[in-house]
Amino acid sequence: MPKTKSQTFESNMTRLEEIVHRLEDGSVPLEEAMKLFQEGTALAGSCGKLLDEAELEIVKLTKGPDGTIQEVPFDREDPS
Amino acid sequence: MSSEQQIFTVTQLNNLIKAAFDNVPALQNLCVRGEISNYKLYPSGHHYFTLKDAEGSLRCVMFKGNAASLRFKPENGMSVLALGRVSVFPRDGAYQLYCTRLIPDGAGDLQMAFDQLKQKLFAEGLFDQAHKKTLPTYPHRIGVVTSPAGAAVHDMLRILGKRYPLSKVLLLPVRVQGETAAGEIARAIEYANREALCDLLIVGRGGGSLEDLWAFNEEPVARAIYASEIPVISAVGHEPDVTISDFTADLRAATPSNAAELAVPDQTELRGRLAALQKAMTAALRRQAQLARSHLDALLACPALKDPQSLIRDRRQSLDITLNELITGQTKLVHAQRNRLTSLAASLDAMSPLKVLARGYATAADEEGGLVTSAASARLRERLVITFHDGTIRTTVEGESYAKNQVPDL
Repeated sequence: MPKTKSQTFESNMTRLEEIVHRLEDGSVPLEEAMKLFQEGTALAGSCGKLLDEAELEIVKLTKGPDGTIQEVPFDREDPS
Repeated sequence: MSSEQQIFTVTQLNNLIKAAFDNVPALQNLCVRGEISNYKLYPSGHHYFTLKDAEGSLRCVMFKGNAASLRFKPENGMSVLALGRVSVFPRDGAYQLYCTRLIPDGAGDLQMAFDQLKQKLFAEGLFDQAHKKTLPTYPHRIGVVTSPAGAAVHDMLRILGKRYPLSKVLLLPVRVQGETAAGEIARAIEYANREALCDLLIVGRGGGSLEDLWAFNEEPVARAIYASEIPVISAVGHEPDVTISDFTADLRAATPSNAAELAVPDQTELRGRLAALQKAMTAALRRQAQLARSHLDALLACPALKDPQSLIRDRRQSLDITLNELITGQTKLVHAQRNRLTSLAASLDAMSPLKVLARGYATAADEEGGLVTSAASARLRERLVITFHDGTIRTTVEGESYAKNQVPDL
């Protein structure tokens, strides 16, 4: 099952936090530190992009004619 | 006893009295205040008890059909208002109250039911803090158990979308008030768990009267929330409304909107965090680059890198010295050996047979080179080689003459 947007965001954020932690620790050789910095910058960019482009996905679970439960779109603007 | 006097059977009398009671309108629909004693619930589902006050007592019965509406559990010593009619039970010849409704005196029956369930579930440990689950930091799928109509669901969706639009919301539509509400809510929670539908559940509804919110005070809902493997936020009514569900949930939200706020991180804060992480990353790398730079500077300042030739010069100089020492040592050794050789040669020379020959001696040898060291061993006509200090001559033995003291040993 592919990762959801939220799962991608969480793993990117976790990795970014780990990178910052390692860079702040100062024990990484400079060459590797530069690689980590590049990776971190890319992760931060991807996290920001995920937030920019995201729209809340909403579904309603209803019982279909055959008795199974299905996901149907839910119109959140409908105040009825 | 007068002949006109009517004789009743017991049954006839009891029925007469019953008819008399039943004709009094005031006895048909009344309310009586008292304290419950001798309370007994029969397997038939009928409730029997006595109402007492300081001076008297009244037998009461509440039939199963009427008892179904009881929200709370009657207990001895409880002060109640009992509604119903008074009539006679002919079998016992006793009048009693046929109770249709029982209300706790003072607090309402809902409040009484609330307190009783709260106490019961508390005693069972359903409110234990140790049982509360941690909510996910980034909920990926949020199940919302509420009414699809009404403002509450739209408030929640608006706030969820504004704060963290990355999650997916699964709306589990249920009735949130009325007879079937509690069952529907409990089943929706159980369904979400059975299907592992989401990683967070919000269960609730908007504001209303105590009766409207009642489903969230019912045992099946409270237990379904407690049993949920998925963390549950309860979100019922307005700020002051507290329900049993709030106590068994992992987190109580004051309102549905508040639940949406508690459920997800705020993207404004997330963006701030991202910026802070980037800043920290840049600062850390810059610090490390500066450290590397000052390390490099320190290295460049050391003589080896500052004047690399000096190392070679130093080494060359010590090589020269060593080489010189080697040559000197070698010369000394050769001299010593030469001196030793000279002295050995001199000794050897002193002992040389040539020196003896030089003094005028000669040696004689046969043709095979064997030395002839006595006259006796030389045979006539034998060829001999005579060696002088300056060379050899060949000769032949011509005669023999022995020294007197050298008689041949024949």
